[in-house]
Amino acid sequence: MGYGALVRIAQSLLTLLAMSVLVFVAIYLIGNPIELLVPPQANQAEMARAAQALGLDQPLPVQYLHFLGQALKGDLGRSFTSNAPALTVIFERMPATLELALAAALIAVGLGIPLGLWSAFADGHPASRATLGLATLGFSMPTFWIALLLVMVFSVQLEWLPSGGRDASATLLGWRTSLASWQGLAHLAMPACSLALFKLALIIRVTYAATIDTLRLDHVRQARARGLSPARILWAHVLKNIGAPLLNVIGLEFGALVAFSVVTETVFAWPGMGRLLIDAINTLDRPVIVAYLLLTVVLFTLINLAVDIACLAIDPRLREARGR
Amino acid sequence: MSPGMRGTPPRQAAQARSAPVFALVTLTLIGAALAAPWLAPQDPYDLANLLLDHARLSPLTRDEAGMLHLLGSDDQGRDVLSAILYGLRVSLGVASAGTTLALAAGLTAGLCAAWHGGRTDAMLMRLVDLQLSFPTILVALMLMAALGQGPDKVVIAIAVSQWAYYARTVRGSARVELQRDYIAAARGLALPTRRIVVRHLLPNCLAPVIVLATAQMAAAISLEATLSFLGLGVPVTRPSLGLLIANGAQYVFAGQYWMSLWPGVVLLATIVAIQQAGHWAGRKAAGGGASR
Repeated sequence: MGYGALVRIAQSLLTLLAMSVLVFVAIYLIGNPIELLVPPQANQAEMARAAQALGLDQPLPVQYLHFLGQALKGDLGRSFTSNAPALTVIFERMPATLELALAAALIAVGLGIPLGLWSAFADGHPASRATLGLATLGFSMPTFWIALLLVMVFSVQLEWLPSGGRDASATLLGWRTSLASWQGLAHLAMPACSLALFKLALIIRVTYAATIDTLRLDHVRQARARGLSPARILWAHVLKNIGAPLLNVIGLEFGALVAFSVVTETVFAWPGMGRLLIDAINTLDRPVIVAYLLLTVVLFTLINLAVDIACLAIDPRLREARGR
Repeated sequence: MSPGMRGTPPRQAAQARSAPVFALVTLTLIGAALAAPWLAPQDPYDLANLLLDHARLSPLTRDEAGMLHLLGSDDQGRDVLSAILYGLRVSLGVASAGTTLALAAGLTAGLCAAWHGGRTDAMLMRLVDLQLSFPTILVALMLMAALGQGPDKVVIAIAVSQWAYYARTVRGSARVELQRDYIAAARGLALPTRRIVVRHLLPNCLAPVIVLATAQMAAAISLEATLSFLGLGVPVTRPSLGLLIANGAQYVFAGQYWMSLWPGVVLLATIVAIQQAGHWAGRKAAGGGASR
């Protein structure tokens, strides 16, 4: 296992390097931010001075190496608009996004796995078919659309829940979070549910498909024939078999939740880093865009790596195949 | 994408019964989009129709000119139904252009990987794996940040974020086909590579790709809508369904739901209908066996 894990770590580092080049070059294709930053009446000399101050007059490879060196020191430049360090700007907004993604993941996993298992055990039952049908529909719903529908119903018609914003005035273990107060939870409910829906549908279908496959295996059928209780079959035979594929999906999808929160945050005016990215794109705030993308890429690579290593640890068959 | 949904007989029967309905809805929507200039009560691109005193009329009301707004009017006085028909045109147009481009790129890369094998194959597939480990929306956002707005940019974003799915599928089926006797025969005849790949190999790899393309078309529509909703997609002068929903969103809070609701219903219907029609076609292609 040690060798397989090392190979994966090396691959992850290469991925990170490749992505840093890609992000850097891609972002530097966009328009000239100088024009936005200097007053409209500025002359050529003033613009050149501004470019020099921001390091924008250097050739691209030099800018990249400089950027990489600084990035390794944790410095991704200052936001063009707020003049605060880009990483600080993002880290300030990160807890809100992680909180949202975590809540959505809890909803998706907490409801999705039981529903998927139940649908498989009760395969053919009308309620099972309805669940799978709704999951297919949930799969097709654009995230922003379900978010707006929720607002229409729960904020405008029923007036049960606030339509936007975040309330993190209460603290939990020294962390200011929405999870610690009813007000906070009321603000979190709709964003988290709308973000969770797609993943919920996915997890239901993956769990269902994996469980159906497992239930058809000879040793499981034999266990059923022996009259083992469904609970025992579920615990001893099904969950162990579907663990690795599920872990894979959940790991990958947590990263996707962070990425998709861009959409949810826009609808619900949730002050997270996704909303920040959209603002940064609109103001051509390159350091913030680059910092966001790199941070997300790092997050993704770390999650992928952790999932792969966890799967190696869980499933001996993978160790056999990759360790050699 | 679809984890093998092996349906039991009653479910398959139900799906088979509803499938022609989805195919019909798909065709109707495509027809409506194509015929928008003749079907729409008003030309939403005509600036003369932007009358602020007609703005935000609720559904089924008439404006002073006596025109009936079946689905109401938007914040600039445009007829919502007309805007939807033209918006559907934009949505379907951008999504199908993106899908076609992604398909072309994916086919080329996949066939190339399968034919050459070895290092070309390893490198291309490594790239595919790398890209598929990031969610589509992130790839698309990165591209929109780099390229800027516009329908052509959305087409590129769709193509770049989807080509990898096609490449992987085509490579898979091409590798199987390359083992078959007819390819050996074509090689034995010393036909030019180009001819073997295009005339012999390609047609036999198409079935799974077409099925995939339908699913990806639905995903492309959703992606375009999402980007436009975020304000990074098509321009406001030629709104797609996603942008119409975004424009109406601010009035949802005031209870004026129709500007967002109806474009959204059409968007959802389009996505679901295309996806289900694709599923059905896929099962037909697989010979009525288990769905993929």
